[in-house]
Amino acid sequence: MAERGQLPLRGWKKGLWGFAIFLVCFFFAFPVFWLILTSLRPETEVFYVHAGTSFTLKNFVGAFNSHQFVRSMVNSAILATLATTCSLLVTVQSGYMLGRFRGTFRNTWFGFIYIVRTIPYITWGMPLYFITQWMRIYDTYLGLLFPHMAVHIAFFSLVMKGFFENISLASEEAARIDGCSNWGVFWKIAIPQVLPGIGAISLICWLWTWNELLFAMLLTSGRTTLLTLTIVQFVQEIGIQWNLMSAAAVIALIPAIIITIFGQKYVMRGLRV
Amino acid sequence: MGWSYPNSQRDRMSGRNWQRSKNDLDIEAELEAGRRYGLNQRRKFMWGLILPAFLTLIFFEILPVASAFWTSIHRARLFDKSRIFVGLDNYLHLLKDPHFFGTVLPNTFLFTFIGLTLETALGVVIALLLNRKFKGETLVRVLLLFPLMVAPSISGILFSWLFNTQFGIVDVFLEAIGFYRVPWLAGRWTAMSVIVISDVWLWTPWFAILLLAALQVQPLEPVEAARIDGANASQVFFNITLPYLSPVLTICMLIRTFDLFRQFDQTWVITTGGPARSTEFFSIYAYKEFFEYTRYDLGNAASLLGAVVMMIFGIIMYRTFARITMSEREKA
Amino acid sequence: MKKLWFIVLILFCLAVWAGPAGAKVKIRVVYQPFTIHNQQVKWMQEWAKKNPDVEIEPVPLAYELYYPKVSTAIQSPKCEYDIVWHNDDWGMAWIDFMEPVDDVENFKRIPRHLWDVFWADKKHPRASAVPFIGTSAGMFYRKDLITTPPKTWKDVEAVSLKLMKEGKVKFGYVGGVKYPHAYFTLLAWMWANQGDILAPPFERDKEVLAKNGWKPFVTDVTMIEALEFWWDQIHKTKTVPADFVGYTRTAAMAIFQAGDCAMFGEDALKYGDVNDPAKSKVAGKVAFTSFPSGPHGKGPLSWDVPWGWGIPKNIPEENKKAAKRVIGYVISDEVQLDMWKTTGGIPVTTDLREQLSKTDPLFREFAVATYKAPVLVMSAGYYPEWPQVHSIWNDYCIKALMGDKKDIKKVMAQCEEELKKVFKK
Repeated sequence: MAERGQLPLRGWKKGLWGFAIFLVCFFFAFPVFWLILTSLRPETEVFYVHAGTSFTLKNFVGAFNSHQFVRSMVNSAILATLATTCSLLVTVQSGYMLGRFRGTFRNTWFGFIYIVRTIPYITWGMPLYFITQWMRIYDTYLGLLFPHMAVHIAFFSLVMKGFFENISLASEEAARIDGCSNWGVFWKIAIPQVLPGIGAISLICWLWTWNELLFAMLLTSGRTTLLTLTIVQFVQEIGIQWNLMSAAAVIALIPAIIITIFGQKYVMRGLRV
Repeated sequence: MGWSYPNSQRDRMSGRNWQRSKNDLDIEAELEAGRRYGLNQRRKFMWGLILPAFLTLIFFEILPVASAFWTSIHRARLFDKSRIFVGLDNYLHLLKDPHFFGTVLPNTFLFTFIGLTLETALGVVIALLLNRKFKGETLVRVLLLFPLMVAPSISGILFSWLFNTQFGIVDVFLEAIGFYRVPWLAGRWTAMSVIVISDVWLWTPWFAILLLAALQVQPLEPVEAARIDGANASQVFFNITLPYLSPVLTICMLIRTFDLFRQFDQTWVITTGGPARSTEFFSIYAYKEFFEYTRYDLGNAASLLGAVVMMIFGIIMYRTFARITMSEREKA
Repeated sequence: MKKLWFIVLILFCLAVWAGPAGAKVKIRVVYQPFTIHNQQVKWMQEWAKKNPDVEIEPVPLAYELYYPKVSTAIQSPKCEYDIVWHNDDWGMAWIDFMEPVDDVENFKRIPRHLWDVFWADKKHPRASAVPFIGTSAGMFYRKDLITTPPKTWKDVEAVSLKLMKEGKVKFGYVGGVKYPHAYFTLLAWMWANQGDILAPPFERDKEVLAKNGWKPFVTDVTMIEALEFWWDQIHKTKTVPADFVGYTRTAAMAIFQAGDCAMFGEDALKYGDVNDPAKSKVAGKVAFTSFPSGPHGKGPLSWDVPWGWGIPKNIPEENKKAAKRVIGYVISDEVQLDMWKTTGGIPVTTDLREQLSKTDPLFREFAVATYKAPVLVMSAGYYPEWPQVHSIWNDYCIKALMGDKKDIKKVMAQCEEELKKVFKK
């Protein structure tokens, strides 16, 4: 084993290291594995998941057939995509402003974003229950879109700032000398250079909205059902159908798995602060 | 065998100069060029850049907070629409409420502190463990990613299932090894442990991955130099690696502190603040006041109190760690 | 980039675009997705098929979110729901916002006691909701293990210990305890001992309670005895699981269905769930009886309370008319008979009840255990503060059960103080 600034391990130390790695893998992978196992057990066997021997795929059928499940999935997917697209369009510009400028105006914006980021979701989410009703966008895509955008903006403006600070100014300078306008430089020169970073951020935005619960609880009431809330309702309402719930949770994980595995390279690369 | 920032850099870190980057001169040139286009146009450009974000934040974060404040200083209940001005009565009621002051706030602070400590420590340990080349490296990294894909509410359901006293695998295992079945969700501290474990499970990989990314581009000269001087592993770690990691570590800790303090999803799913409201955090308390007891004024007051605590903390942290969060390029 | 903006714009428009208004009257029905309600909504949709000028849109809502969301909705100038599920508990809180519905078809066949306490008062003498099913509760027990159903608390404890010693079950009695599931343990026990949350016990008339100053009754010996019974079961005799205080009714049902306990307190209509071989290991071995009586009790206890459909005032006139037609249908004999057969809910019309008692032996067994039980109570409080009172009382009971036995009186004294504050405007 080659070191990265670390001494090579010999003998019992190597064994200890191996055991530690095994423990880590076990701790983080086991719960998901258990979830999948529970989702494969028929209803009567779910009480003793470890002891049973029968497997079935009926739970997944049951989950799909249950009330509003497919609709919630579709809604969550649409919302996540909408929110990510709109957020990026807005956050990238905000990050550019933070990265390229100095001075009181920029610092005020920085401070504003920083403070806004510290406000707990519950504080501004609860009044939104009434505000979105007043705006007539309660329990619609729009009513959920804007709060999610607000979260994304607050979170990722600062990360975008980091990206823009890392790319060189030379090309922008050159373009400006050639007579390119400010916006032109932004769209044609700056953005293409941070595309990997934007890719990483978009994955995280998408997953955040897909997995979000609090706004789903506060700002919907049956018309725009979202997946996380539907799954939580499984457990609290229609009998403890752990088998169906696990199947539903596994189904909810699938887009997340696809996106994470597909995008993990970008995430690792793009998030280097 | 000490390692710290060279003098020239320390000068640059003082005061407001810390914001300047290596591209400082370039930025000056850009501003100069910008001035060629006129100050107005620059201003317009900056506004144009942030206008959509600004509007969204104003209407959907500032306006709600203002509305929350307005509601919290009036009487606002579900079936009492009088909306009389009551000043700071609601806040006083909260501060005098033995449950809020004696249970909810300590719970929140305790949870934040313990969660942060565990996640940071484990994150650092795991990052160090993985900072080697070995077979199966990718597999381990993928397994580490699992918790990041799971929604917090689903992880809450997952852990309440794992720790279910009748059917959960943890208690079955405990019974099998001769211990007794622990009634996890029936007691304050045992239920809190389940919530902490679910949060640690969920967020330690995030720490670990970010720290690992930083470790993998760590410049190795100081380490080599120290080794030659005869330093052992722990001395290398505490004097070289840890200071190197501190920017990333501090940012991560800061982000997690905010998120731990305002945590809602897992607790709601695992205990809904029970049993007997003993595992309530301030976000759960605010939600319950608002939705279950429909005491909108108290709910908003509680959430605003939490927001104020967080804002003050955020400002203090910003001042204290501004130097440490300076980005990496700026060191030698 | 311009193309991207265009696509985003299109997506925006799609997202904002609402469905076009049709010539049909759209009736939005909001309810908790319980078997009973799902069946009722199914029948509503059947009716809508035969009456094409009305369209039914079901809106299921989780129980925890239901009360606050719908309470806010019915107070807004245009309520977004046309038919709302009315629990017996919320009748008084919502009475100002609901349309009188006693002119609905079949309403006259419903006995008065099923609506006048919950959904009418001196200021609103007309019913503000229509009962659509009678719900009652009692104790399911394993008829293969228990020959004579237990009638007192002592019987429950004795039979639990006996069966546990023989190794036939792991626990004795389970039921929901966490808020708001404690009807089948803490509340049933308190009432079966002639106790109650407010004095005088079993009084449901708001005027009488107000005249009595809304005085709490929770420090009375009847309440303390009930709590001491459960304390013993948790800590001393261990006939209930150690994490009992956190139980929801569904968690308790899971234990009964797994065959791990001998008795299980729940709504009568859960009979279908515990007797279904696909869901339950004890299917075919289940019988039903009333809640056992306590030392101060006057006999086994049950209740006969309705769930109802209400129509908010703030909806268009044509919606109100259509809603009344639908509700009239779902309380007709055709639907009520089906409700009993498929869900085990008790029909609301008097003549239908008598008819079924004569013809259906299972119904007779349930009738004897539920609305014909020796002692009947109204299983909630019918004043606007009930949800809050219930929640506070439940929290303190759990706190008492988690602490020392000698502290139970002290904790309930604290509960009394807290309850007094609720009624002090």
